[in-house]
Amino acid sequence: MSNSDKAIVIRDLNKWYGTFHVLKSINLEVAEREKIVVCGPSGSGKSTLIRCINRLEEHQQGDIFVDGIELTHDVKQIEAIRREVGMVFQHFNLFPHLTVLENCTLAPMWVRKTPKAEAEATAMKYLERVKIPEQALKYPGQLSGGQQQRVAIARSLCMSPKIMLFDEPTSALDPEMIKEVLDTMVELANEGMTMICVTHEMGFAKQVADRVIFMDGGEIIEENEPNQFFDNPQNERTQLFLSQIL
Amino acid sequence: MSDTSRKLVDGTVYEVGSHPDLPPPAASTGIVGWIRANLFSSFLNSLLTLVVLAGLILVVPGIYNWSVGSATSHGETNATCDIADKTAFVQTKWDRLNVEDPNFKNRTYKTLIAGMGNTVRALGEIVEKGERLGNTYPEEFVTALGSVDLVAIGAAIDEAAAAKDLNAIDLQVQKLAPIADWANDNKGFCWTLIKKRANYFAFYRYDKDQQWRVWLVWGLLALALIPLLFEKIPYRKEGLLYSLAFPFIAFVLLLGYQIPSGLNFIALNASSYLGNPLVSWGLAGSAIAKIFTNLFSFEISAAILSLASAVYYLLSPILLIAIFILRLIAPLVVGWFVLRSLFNRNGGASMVSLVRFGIGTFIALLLAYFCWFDAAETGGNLMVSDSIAGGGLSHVKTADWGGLMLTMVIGITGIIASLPLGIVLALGRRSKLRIISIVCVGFIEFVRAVPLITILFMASTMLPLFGPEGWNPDKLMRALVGVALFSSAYMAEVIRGGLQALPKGQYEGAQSMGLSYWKMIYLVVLPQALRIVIPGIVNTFIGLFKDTTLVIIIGMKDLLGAGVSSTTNANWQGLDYEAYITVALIFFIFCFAMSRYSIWLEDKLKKATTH
Repeated sequence: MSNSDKAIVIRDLNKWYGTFHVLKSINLEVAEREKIVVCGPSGSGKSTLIRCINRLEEHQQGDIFVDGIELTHDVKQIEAIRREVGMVFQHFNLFPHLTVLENCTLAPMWVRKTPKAEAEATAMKYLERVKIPEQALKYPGQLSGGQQQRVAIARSLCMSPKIMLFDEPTSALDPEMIKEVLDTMVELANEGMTMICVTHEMGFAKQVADRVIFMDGGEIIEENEPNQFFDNPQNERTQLFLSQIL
Repeated sequence: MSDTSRKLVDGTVYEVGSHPDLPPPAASTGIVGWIRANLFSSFLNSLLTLVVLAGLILVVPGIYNWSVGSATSHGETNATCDIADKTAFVQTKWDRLNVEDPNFKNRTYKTLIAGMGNTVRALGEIVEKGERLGNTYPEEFVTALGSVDLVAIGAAIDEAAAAKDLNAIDLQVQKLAPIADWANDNKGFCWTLIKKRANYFAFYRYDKDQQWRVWLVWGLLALALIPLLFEKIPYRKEGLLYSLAFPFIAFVLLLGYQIPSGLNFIALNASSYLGNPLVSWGLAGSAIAKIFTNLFSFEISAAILSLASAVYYLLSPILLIAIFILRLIAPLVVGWFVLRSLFNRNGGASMVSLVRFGIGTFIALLLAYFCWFDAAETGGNLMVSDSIAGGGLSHVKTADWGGLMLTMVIGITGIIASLPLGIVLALGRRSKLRIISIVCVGFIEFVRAVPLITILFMASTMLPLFGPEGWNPDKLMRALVGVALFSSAYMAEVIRGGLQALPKGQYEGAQSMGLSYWKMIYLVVLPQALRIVIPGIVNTFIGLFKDTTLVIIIGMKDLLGAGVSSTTNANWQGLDYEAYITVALIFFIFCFAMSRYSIWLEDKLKKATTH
């Protein structure tokens, strides 16, 4: 049942906020090393979908299997899943009372029980990969938006997750800073990370995605590889959406 | 002017790009500049400055005169101050009378004049009484007194008053002049009270020979506060361990303990210590049965009492066993940590680690002494027996604690207890588990709806009624529990404000990394939430510190109680102002210090995390 060769398996997922049906019969399978871009109008449930994957939202019906582990009410399983799934938020959610380095070493030290020296070495390695090692001892409040988002990416990477979720990572950034974050994400993708990315950056989707998913009104309307999706959208709602943003 | 050179205001020429750095105009710097900018910057500002200046001129000289200029600190009792007061009183009253009612018409003034004779006579009695009590008077007063016959003057004033002879009265009052002059210079604040009664204000009835223990505790308190209040000190971790141990050390020092000639290992006495659980539960059973019989006969209050008894009888054996087990394992746990720290050095022993090991061993041994042994002869507590077999610190009953020392004990205990309890209650209130949140909300709302006085009153007079026969917890303990629970409810709401102010994204960021609930609370939520509500927390602490004065209701004399006692003491009557102002000043010092510390802390935290 729980196909352990697939990174994420979502079967007949339904979610309600009260009586409002926000996710309708979602079926999705994500293989390892696959990169998915989810796009759609606001209110379509894209963020809700990926937040269900790491249990920031609870679903009422359907199954979610992450890395072979079923997502239920069991706290132990939820925590196990969260260790393997990293998330990058639209508003960064860095911890302002800790330095950049402490932000990155917090989870490895306290969740994976890594010793401090090793955690700091890993953190510096990832900070170098996102090209801001010199900011290690600064506080998030002292960094620009683009730098903060790259710190957030590095912080998630320090836990060595198998899957990375991105919830509109560039929506709160100025145009100059969007590029630096997207470059980081492209590098990450090229190294083989499994990624699900909710974004409006279609250039990124064309460059990196294995599949693009269009959601509207809580349903997955269309799902295709990027060339087909952008040049030959099947559904008319997809066509309408693409005509508005491209 | 050419393209490349320009002129300054005073005519000097300079090249573009090399404008000299000039000093600012004189009127905008220094004191003059500050006054202009801050006190006289606009019309309204200037007006306010003048109003405030006028107010200060009216008020400050009077205050200075009263508190320093004509203050006195002479004598052993209030006699000197009293005499000065009364003499000045006579003089002032007569001056007023002369001016306001020279025709002797007003009835009130007649009564006043009638009283004057008595007052003058009474002066003589006060002088005498003061001498009997060991008071001595200043030289100039004694010489002045020699030339004044108080009794005669008093009698003469009475005659003159009866005869309505203003001039005669005036003559007599003039005769008081020598001591009246002295009185005017000495009728202000009576510092004698503070000089002689400082000990009473600080310790009240704490055994005089043992007061050094309170001083020691105060010194240790200052040491314990340092690692808590300041971050960048060396050996902070060890200091925090000491701060954790401090309340227990202070408790032992203040209450006293005995070094008995015989000790019993508690396990040997376990049966007498633990009692008989079966008996206890049997009683619980019968209490439960009584609940139902009471309900059926609609005696609700009796039913509630039976419920309380049932709960007590059910829980007390479990509690006793838990305490017993705790007493057995606590020294072992501490000893294990000490040994582990010794063997964990990956580089050989250093001076620091040896010192740590030494302190840890000492604490473990001390803990073992108190936890594992009971005094043999008295068959019980090492702490509260009155008999000192082999030495130790004598027991000072909590009923004798009082004054500033008691205020600090209650205040600091309340503060220390309310923060962790408040955090737990606030988190519980926001819990997703219904039962926990209902219990927390219920507790908070009930405690906040009831004045502290009623809680203290209930705790002290009615609490024994709710338990079984003979249950009589120490009065101070009841007050401490009441204060701690009360302030933890208020603290819970303050902290809940901070928890709500924290953006939801912080919770999500922590959760998405796999942090468990308590790790998230400890590492991410509380550091930020507590920082946000530092003003509210310190506000609650300051309020709590002053609320401790309410224990006067249950007969405990804290600092304010000692002040009130001073005013009713025969030797110190008439010094109400002095007593209350002293108490107020002491409270001001403590509360202002707390307030200043909080502002310093906020500044420091703000600097750390922003540009």
